[in-house]
Amino acid sequence: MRLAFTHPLHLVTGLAIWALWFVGVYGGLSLGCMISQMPQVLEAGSWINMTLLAFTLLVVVLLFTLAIKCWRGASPGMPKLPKFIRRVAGALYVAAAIAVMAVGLPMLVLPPCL
Amino acid sequence: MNETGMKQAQQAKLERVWANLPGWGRLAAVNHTTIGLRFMVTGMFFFLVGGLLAMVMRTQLARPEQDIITADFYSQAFTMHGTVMMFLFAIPALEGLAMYLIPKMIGARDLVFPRLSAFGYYCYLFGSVIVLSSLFFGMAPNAGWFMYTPLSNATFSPGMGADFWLIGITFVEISAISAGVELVVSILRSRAPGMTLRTMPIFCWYILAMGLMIIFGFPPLILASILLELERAAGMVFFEAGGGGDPLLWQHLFWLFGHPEVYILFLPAAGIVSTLIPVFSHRPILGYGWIVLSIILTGFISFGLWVHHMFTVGIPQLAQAFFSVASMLVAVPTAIQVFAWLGTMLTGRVTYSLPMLWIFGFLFTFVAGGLTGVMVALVPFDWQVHDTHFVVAHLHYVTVGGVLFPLIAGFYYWLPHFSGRMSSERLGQWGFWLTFGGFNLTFFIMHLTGLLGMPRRVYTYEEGLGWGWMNLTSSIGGFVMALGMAMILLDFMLHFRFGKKASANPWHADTLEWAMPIPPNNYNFASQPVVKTRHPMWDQPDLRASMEAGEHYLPHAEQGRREMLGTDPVTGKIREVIHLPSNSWLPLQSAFALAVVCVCLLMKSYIAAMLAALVAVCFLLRWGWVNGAHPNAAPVSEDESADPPLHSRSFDGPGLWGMGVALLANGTLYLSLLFGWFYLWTVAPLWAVPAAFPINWQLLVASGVALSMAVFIFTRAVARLKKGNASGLGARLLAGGGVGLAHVALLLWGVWDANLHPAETAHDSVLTVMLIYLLVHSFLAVIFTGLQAWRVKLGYVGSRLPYEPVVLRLFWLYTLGVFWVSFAAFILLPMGWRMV
Repeated sequence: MRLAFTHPLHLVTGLAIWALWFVGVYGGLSLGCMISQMPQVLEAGSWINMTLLAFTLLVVVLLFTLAIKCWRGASPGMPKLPKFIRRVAGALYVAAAIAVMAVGLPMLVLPPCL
Repeated sequence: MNETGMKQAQQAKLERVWANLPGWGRLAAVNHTTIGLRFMVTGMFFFLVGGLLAMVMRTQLARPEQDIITADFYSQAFTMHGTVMMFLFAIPALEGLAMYLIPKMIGARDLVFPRLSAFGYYCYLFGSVIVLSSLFFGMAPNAGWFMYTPLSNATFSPGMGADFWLIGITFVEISAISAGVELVVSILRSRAPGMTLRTMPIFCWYILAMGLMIIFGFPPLILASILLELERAAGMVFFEAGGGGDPLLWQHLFWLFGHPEVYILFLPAAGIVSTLIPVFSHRPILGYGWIVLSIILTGFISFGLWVHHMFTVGIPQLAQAFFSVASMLVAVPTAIQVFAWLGTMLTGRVTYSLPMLWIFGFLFTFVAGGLTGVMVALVPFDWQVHDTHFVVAHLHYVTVGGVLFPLIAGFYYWLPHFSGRMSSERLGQWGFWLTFGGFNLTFFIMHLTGLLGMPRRVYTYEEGLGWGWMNLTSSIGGFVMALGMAMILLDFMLHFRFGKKASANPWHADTLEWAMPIPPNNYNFASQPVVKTRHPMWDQPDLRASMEAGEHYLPHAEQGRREMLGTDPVTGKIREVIHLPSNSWLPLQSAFALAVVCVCLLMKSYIAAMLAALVAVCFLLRWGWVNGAHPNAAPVSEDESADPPLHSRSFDGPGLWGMGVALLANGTLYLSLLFGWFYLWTVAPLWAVPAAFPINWQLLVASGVALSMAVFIFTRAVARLKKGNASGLGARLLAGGGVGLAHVALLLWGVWDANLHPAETAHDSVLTVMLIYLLVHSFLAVIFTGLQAWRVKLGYVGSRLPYEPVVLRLFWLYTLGVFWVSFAAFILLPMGWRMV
């Protein structure tokens, strides 16, 4: 079942995705460090960083796509309540995408297991 | 009878139906106005207790090398100060204000679960008394308000202090969860007709976020407290490294609660600010949508910061960086709100009255606290100031500036609502300036004390370290602040006697709480209006008069029931008439029985504790029994209106929402246990797995199959009921309950048969807790279903009364879900891992 973009659940979906991504990268980092050999994961370019970065990129694309879909539907003639939900939800998807990018940024420069 | 006479008769009837019982019967009150005020007054009492403890500490630290109090009492004082201020003052006082205001702001007559409000209050009261009594017995907890392990375990805290904390605070947290469920469902399901998500008062968005944050934030601490108490009392292993546990698991669970907690306090306080600034600026708030966005952002991001309290415990740099960036990010939504407040004031005409003075104090202090917050979010800086007075200064700037100041602003603003009288401007001004000046004198200098290296939680310090004059200044400031608070309290007390009478809407406010007589009557509104705008009191000037004249919905109480409208969570369209339960002793009785359980656990009288628990369960089941179509509630009558229907005659009343929200909290507790399992498995250095898997998985599979069948039978019965077919309902429910009982028996057999040694390894301890969790849920589901079958027989449930099985269905589905998730995570995954 597809959820209409005027549904208020979209007000929390973006940041819920952010939260799941956050748990995923934090948990994934711990798991990666547990199963890896130490010398290989002391650099920022390690497979752990690359995997987590790829995951991050996917999530960012997903969030921006959802944001665009929310905003595109908010036409000027629309009733105020659905327009309000679409606009705020769209902005929250963008905010969630920015939060994912910001928190994910250190993966470019820091080693994972040090 | 003429029209005026009829209206008076209607209002007299409303008053009779909604009134509290007289005399001792007041203890059976459930009305949100009464309960909200009780929360606030009790919270203020604990504020004084916490303040006195602070004075004792400041006296001890005023000069170097003093021995006014002992090191041990100092440890008790700082532990109790933090505990009292956080758990017994701030949360209950803010919840109380929200419980008092929310129904009035959304045009409702009460919260949707009034008995839950009363139960929550008594849990809070009894839990607080248990915690506070430890001070008088000389055995108060002394391991810090965050009770870090191993300091708080049985080896290093051998007395009863930690037990008082763990048991008492967990009891108080039941109250917080109750309030969270109550407020969330009330805001979503009982707003005035026409009040959409877009037009509800901004304060409601803040409280909605706060309620949901309580639902997701408190369970990790409840679980951690239960686990630590099990470790202390029953010798189980969770945080003891030697047995495969990990002390850091406590820190994770505590701060998973602890950091969102700061925002659970800040959001309602910010809600007060966002309510007051437009009123005193005489214009709508700037950027309503932006503020909603920042509330939701804060609610989520604040859950991603907890490790910033743990930067010094040895976590990989990259993980620290995640939390460091998230800690800085959370400043953004706060900044959005600050700019919206400033913009509202700059574009309006600000009236500089007493509540606004406190708002200005808030803005100055909170922004300063926020800036030091960004500083400690930086890992290298945090390493330098960790556990120093700098952090003490920061947290007080945030909590006092960000929570207490807006709360006092709110008290001054709504004081005429509570009493019908205005406070003294002069005393209030003195109170503000003394508090504001004293606060900054105390805590601004404390940043420097911390930067010079003075650690927290030391009961004295040597002369010649350069901290002497700073501590003396802080102590003087502390006493000046105390004087200011005394002025405010004096003002509050005197105003009831000497304050001049307030006009109907003394601040010319825009929200509905001012559309009623002040002090308010027990039913809030003589009739429930249609609300079309965000500012009903500004945009609908005749509203107050027409409501009082009974020109809107539900102007009478002809059935002798407490009734109000239930509406759609998004659009505010009318869905049903909610019949609310009336005065009752059951909340007090249930909470008292639970308090006896707590005291018995403290005294390690486990048989007595079990008996008291049984009594509590009986009271709680009785509470559930006198609902719906029970003769004490809303028995079926032939002349009932079906448009809108009574909620117990529908499929989607507030109880369903209450069950859903409560299960969210329950699910968070379960996920915290799951987190603990995986955390210990991957991180604990001495995690040990027994050679043979200790549980007979075939028995569990058989038990799970029986559970699945029970849920299938139950959900089929509900599906038939939804189609209006109640034939054989009682038998179907009995059949579902019977199969459920077989599931419980098999599960019990599995537990009995398991070769678990919970006193030896963390592995077996976690498995034991998981199995008990499943057993409790399954057993409750069976009991509830049996009672439902009985209610079918008595005619309280049926085709015209289909509501209760629909609510119970959610519980069954939840039980089924956690069973199979547990089987996968605790049984299948470890077995598979062994094979790899």
